[in-house]
Amino acid sequence: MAMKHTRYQFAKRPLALVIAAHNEEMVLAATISSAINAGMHPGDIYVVNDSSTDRTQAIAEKHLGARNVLAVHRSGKAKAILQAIGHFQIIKRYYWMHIADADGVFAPDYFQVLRRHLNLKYAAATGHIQSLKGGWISKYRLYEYTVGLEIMRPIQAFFGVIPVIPGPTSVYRTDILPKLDFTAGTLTEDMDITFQIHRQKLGKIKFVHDARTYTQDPRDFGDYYKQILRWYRGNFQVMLRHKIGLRAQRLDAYVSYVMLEQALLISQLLLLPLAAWWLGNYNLIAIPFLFDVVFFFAFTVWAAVLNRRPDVLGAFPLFYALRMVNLYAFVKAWFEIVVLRKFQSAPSAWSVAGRRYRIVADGIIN
Amino acid sequence: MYGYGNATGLVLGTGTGVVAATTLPVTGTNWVVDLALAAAAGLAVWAMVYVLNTKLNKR
Repeated sequence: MAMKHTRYQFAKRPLALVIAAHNEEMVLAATISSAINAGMHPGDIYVVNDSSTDRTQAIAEKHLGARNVLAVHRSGKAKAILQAIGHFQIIKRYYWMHIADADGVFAPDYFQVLRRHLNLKYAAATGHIQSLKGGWISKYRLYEYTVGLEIMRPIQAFFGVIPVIPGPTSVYRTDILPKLDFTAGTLTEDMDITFQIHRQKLGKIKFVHDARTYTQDPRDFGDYYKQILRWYRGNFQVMLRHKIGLRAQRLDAYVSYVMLEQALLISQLLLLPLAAWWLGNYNLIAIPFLFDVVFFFAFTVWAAVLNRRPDVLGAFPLFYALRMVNLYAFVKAWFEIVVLRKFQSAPSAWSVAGRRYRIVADGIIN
Repeated sequence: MYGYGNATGLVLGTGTGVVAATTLPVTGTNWVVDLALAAAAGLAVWAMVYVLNTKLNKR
């Protein structure tokens, strides 16, 4: 005990890694090992065990020692992290705190690259995410992550409108942590916290393109649909909570643009077939469809080449099904949250049952 | 692993599209609509081959 207090009196260390875990025995050991291999000292890694009923606690203690593991009553990810911040005195002892999910894998140079870019003029930072190898859903996610992080993210970073610091790669300057509300009760707490940084003008968010993490995706369609619906519901909750569109911030302009884009696409899908039938001109459907196939395929080829993942191309036609599902989930979530005002709070929803699977050695291709 | 079925799906799907575009024009006069139908047919065949291949690999 005395030793613990002595250690805390030293100067602040640069970076702490806090992993929130609830029944993560399948993946936690691999995630901790990956963090250590990627340059984190085990003494700076902390696990907050959110009332797991499996071997999560034992695995965490085996890798990090009991003093770096905190067991809490069922709290949900955000509240569990909050308790870890207090218990491990993260704000007092560190300049930066990295939050990670328990199912992530870090590239071997992840923390080295990240540390190089962490500058106290930024409020937060986020790295690059890519899918671990998997089935057709992981292949689609690889496409989405590539377009999102190679094209959209640099633009968002340039204009200062990064809308979400995603769970697997989120770094916060510790002095801003007391100003953030981790108990907002939304389904996408990472997005909510990012919006708080924008709204309170706490500082810029740095995008570190070369700091790469890998994450698991849903393995079957049911899990995919649940995840995407939860994300969209959370997005609309956060947008309502932060009154997006009613303030004169760049974030409002960007998020409004994204919503408008989605609304236009849905309108096209619904109205074009009707217009083609009404006017007897089926070019109205054929031309947009052909353009879509050409550009969508070209971007998929680009994503496959960039990530050295030719297997992604094989599942290309199935991506159309997932795009349609995304649009359906978007409309459903909008109707539930914005029109019906359902799910206005989401206490400690954190289920990973059926979602995790063991991380295999060749999960990362490059 | 780059599965055999993935390549098969791509080849068969493209083949179906080409055959549909060149020999089975639905409208006969509107090549844009014919091409779109051919692309849709090719994608459908490709998707079916991918799904079948995945199911067979699981056995």
